Amino acid sequence: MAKLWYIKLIGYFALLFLYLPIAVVIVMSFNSGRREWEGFSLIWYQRLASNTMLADALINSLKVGLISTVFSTILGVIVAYYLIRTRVSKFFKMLVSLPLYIPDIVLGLSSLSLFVLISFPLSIWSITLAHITFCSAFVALVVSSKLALLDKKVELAAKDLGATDRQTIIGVVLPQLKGAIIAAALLSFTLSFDDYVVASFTGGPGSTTLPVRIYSLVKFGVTPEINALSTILFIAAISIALIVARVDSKAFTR
Amino acid sequence: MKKIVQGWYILFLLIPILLVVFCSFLTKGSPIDFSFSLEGYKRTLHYGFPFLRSLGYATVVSFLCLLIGFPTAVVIVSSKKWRAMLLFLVILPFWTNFLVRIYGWKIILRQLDLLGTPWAVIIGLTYIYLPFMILPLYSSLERFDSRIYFAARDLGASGLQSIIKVVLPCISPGVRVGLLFVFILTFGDFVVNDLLGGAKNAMIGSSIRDAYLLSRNWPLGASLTVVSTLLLLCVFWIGRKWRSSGT
Amino acid sequence: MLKIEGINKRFGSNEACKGINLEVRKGECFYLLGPSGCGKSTLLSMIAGHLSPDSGDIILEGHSLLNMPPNKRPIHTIFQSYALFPHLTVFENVAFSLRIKGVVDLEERVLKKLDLVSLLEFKDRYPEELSGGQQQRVAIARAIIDEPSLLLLDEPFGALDTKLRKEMQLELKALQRSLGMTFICVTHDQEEALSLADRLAVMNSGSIEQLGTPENVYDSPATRFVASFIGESNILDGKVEGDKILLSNSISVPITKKFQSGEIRGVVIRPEWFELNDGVSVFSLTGEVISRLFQGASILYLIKTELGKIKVLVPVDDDLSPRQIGDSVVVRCTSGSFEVV
Repeated sequence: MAKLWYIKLIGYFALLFLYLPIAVVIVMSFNSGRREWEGFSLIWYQRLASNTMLADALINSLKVGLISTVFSTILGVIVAYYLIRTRVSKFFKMLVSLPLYIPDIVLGLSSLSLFVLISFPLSIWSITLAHITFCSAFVALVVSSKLALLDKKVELAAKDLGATDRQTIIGVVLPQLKGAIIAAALLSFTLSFDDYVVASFTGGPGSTTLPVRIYSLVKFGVTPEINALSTILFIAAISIALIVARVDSKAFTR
Repeated sequence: MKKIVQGWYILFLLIPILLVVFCSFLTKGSPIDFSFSLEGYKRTLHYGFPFLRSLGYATVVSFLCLLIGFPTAVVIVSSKKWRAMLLFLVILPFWTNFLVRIYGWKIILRQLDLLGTPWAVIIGLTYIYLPFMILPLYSSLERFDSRIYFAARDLGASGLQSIIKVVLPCISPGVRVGLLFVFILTFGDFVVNDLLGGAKNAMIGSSIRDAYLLSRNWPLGASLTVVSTLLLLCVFWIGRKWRSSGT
Repeated sequence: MLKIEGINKRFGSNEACKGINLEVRKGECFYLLGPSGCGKSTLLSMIAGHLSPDSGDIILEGHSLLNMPPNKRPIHTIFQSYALFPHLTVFENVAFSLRIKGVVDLEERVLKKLDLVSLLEFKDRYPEELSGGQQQRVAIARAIIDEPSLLLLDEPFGALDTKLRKEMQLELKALQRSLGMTFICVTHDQEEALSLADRLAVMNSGSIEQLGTPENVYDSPATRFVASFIGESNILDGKVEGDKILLSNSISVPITKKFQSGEIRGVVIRPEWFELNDGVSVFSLTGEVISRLFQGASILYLIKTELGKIKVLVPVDDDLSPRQIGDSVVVRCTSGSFEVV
């Protein structure tokens, strides 16, 4: 398709387009003014550091993120093992893949319905439970694709040499899944940390997570500290993505 | 152990969804009154505009994504050396917080005086969901034999004609997946709508959110959700019919 | 040492094993030979315990193995792909079964076994860094370290290239002899089976067609299948008449087995039991050479005769003037006794 330069041009512009808003935010974070460019400054980063509301939200997000990552990774790995190495009913298969198809707004409002109806208080825990439910589906997806590629004969060899089922899973299957599990855990953390929709439905006063806080700040456009925060988040995101890329490619060679 | 795992999803996934359907037939209360009523559905009938808007935006955005996504996929496929790098670049924004990216657009659109208009919503939605179109298209293009394109050119078709008549039909699985993804995701969106479009351009997603969190009218929210899901299933079904008649 | 009694196994409508009976002696290198789908791998899996038979029994040194799970059986399998643990070093791969048992002082034993298979210097490498032949040796060391009663090998040389195959075959046979271990191997390569087995069972479509030493099976094939599967052979059909078979109006051949007169049976004659020069013969034919294959130490001729196309194998030294395609020849059969199938 060498002749169609205009097609490719659109393509290149599209790739730039993907980074346009990100670039704008980063640039604005160093702007000493609020709207128009008034000179380079780190003032917003300083203000950011002393913003307690954001700090609280960040802590909530980290709590939710870490706890839900731990449990959704465990749950997701177990689900992946059942899906690939045992026989499961169609119902089970449908059930565990539901979160992948359902829009997050439905996940959010249905979880809210459940919690209120059983009088479960809306707090860090309600958000965490909802997050575990949908993040685990993604963990299961990532881990099961790797698990399906493993040589079954290796597990058979382990049993042949005397290992029980439990010893085989712990000593032979899990080590081979190491890369996929790490990548899945990072994905799970990112999904939880970045989630706005589900957290806005299932959170209560005092359990505001960072995206929820950011949302109100963006909506009302009040403080440019957002730009500084966004830049930091963007850098953190690139780092995690790079880590996953390295871990995942290593997982492929082994 | 399997039963415990299954139980988790039944409790936290299946039951909540069934609850929503259940709620759609109840009366508004604090938050819900367990008496049968079709109030929710009756109120839903007033929401024609948001539904149409959502359908409209979803359609426009889907095709825009195809228009922009296809060339991008072509660029990625064309270079063997940089393919992995380009794919990484497309996926990277996923890892950043999407609120942050929308915020960037807010700044840009404010400068361009487009904030609060339907264009803002369309631009925002296209931007966010573009990768969902690029990836399936890339996947299909990767398997496409480019010699077919050259054969079409050879037989006299112009570049554009060849693409429309030959390339797109061949990669139609990718096109279908991409369109479906973008359509469904866009239809259910309320964040972009809220932040860039404002109340005047409300989509059904915003209406649902308002019903649940603002006016606390759960039967309304639930029935809106049920109707939306049915609408989407219709779209899905039409998409399947198109697939079997097309090829 | 191992007795297999009346084993049956079916998968849906496919009867993989039908009434299998055989015995393997201690210290023997026993082969299950047959084409794909004959049931040999299924049988091996049942001995290992990866599959359960529908009926019958498998008895190892007097004890039935039927309800024993594979990890409890004193039997180890070497898979065709070796199935080494990719996340463990060569040392750890070999040490695996000992670690499972809880053995603590295993270093010396592992190193000794690695030395036995000449892989000592590779002990800290990972399987992906090794060649096919080296991987096979790791698999062997891993399987013999805890001294199992029986070792099962599934197409052990299938993944190696031809040259390496012969080398490894000799090594394996030597190893088996020196360890005095009992091996049961599965293969479709009849050359391998004939050269390595002490005894073998030829299988076809779920049943054993013949059981015996390689010489038995080669010289006296019991069935038509065995005759055609093992080595090259000519099967000439003829009518039974008392203690003879009439191959044609003028040619008849004495036989020892008793058959009904009037039956049509096949006489098995190996290509090397024919000759193309003058001399004494049980019978002779005229024919025309239609094809020849040079095989290094011998030439395989395809000769058209009144009895059909006959394969004749002639050592290069014997044939003072090798025949060309189109030559007329006299084919003499020099065998004394004839197998009939």
